[in-house]
Amino acid sequence: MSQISFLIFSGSYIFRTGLRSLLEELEITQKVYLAEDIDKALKVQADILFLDTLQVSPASLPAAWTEGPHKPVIVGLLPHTDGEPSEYREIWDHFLDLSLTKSELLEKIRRIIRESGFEEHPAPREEKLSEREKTILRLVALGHTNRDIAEKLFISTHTVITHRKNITRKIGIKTVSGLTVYALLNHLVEMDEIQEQTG
Amino acid sequence: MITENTKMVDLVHRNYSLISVLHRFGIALGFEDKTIREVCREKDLDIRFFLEIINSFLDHDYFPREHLISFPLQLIVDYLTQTHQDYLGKRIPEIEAIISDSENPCYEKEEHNFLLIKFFREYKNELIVHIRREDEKVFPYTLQVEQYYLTGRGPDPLTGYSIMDYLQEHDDIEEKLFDLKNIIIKYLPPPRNPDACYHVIAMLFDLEKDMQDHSRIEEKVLVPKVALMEKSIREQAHGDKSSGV
Repeated sequence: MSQISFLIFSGSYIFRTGLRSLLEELEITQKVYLAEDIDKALKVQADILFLDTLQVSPASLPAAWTEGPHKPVIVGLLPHTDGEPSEYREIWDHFLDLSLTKSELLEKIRRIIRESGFEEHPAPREEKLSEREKTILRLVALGHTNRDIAEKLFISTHTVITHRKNITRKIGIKTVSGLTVYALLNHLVEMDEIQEQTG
Repeated sequence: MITENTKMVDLVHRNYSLISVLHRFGIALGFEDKTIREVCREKDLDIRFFLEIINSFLDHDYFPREHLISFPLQLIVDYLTQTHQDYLGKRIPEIEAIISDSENPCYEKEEHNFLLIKFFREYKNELIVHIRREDEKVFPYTLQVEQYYLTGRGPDPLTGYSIMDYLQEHDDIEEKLFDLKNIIIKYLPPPRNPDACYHVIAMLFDLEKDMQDHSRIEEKVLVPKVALMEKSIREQAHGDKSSGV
């Protein structure tokens, strides 16, 4: 599984957005859905469901959440510290005591993710350019158009564009002149080559 | 939210970047305890317009599209023109002066300084072209449209060119600025002169934030407002023609 999806189901704006910003701090690849009512909540299929106890009573929980192959891991949101109310024990896989501190909350959520058998994939960091991408970057820096590059490398223009998108995603540089500076700094091209081209 | 009773000093405490916005309205520091209302009266400024600009700068979700659209175009165009002067007359030369200071270069190696300056100047030249085009062509065009729309007089502005044509070319300038930041933050080596680089980065972030605000006003206020007037003029012309037949 490449990314974990979360659904936060609560009528409270503060619960929804607060929990979302907490999940963002986990720095894992994730998708977070927010729902304030049951219709919206049922449109989404998530791995882990954060459920506001004020929202749904145990008896009225929709079948999609309690049975079947896509049943989510249910985490009850518990606004006070009185412990886990027994009537919910059947349906909650875990519960989150909202009076915990920030670091306790993060720790608890990480544990829930692990215990539920999901892997925490760290959010993608910068990746190294492949040899092919370096070749293309070099040609871009030398002032070649996508079409020139396609002809030179015997590939389609479409493939060149895909490579260029990946290069931009990996190094975080968007413009041709920015890519040229990158190529120079990394000695994929040398200054005199560029001057020959432009001069 | 900022109101006319807010004190000027509180405004600047809230976000010091507003100092340059105030400057464009001709308001300098030394506010004492004056409120926005008092200062706007002194300077004979439209308080509602002033407040909308300030509030939309502070809070991007607060975008008073309908309100701003109701203001005369000249107010909006004057503000945007002042902003351009701030960029080209002040911010860009300040950054350029630091990175091209040969007595105290940012980087140890000549080639690194050279690359930085070269990239920055490319960015600058592109920005100048873009701003000139707006000042000399786009803005006068919008005012012409407004005049024709309001009075029915003046040259018919709708001869081929439309305000929508102009929307397309903002992107590359923003992307270059983004690249410039990343080149300094990620790819150039650690600088010989960290203070200068730190200063440049801070100015680039400020500039970027200000330009985003500037583009928002152009794209969400100026363009829709002019497009509405163009539409109305076109319909009018069409109506005249068909009734004449």
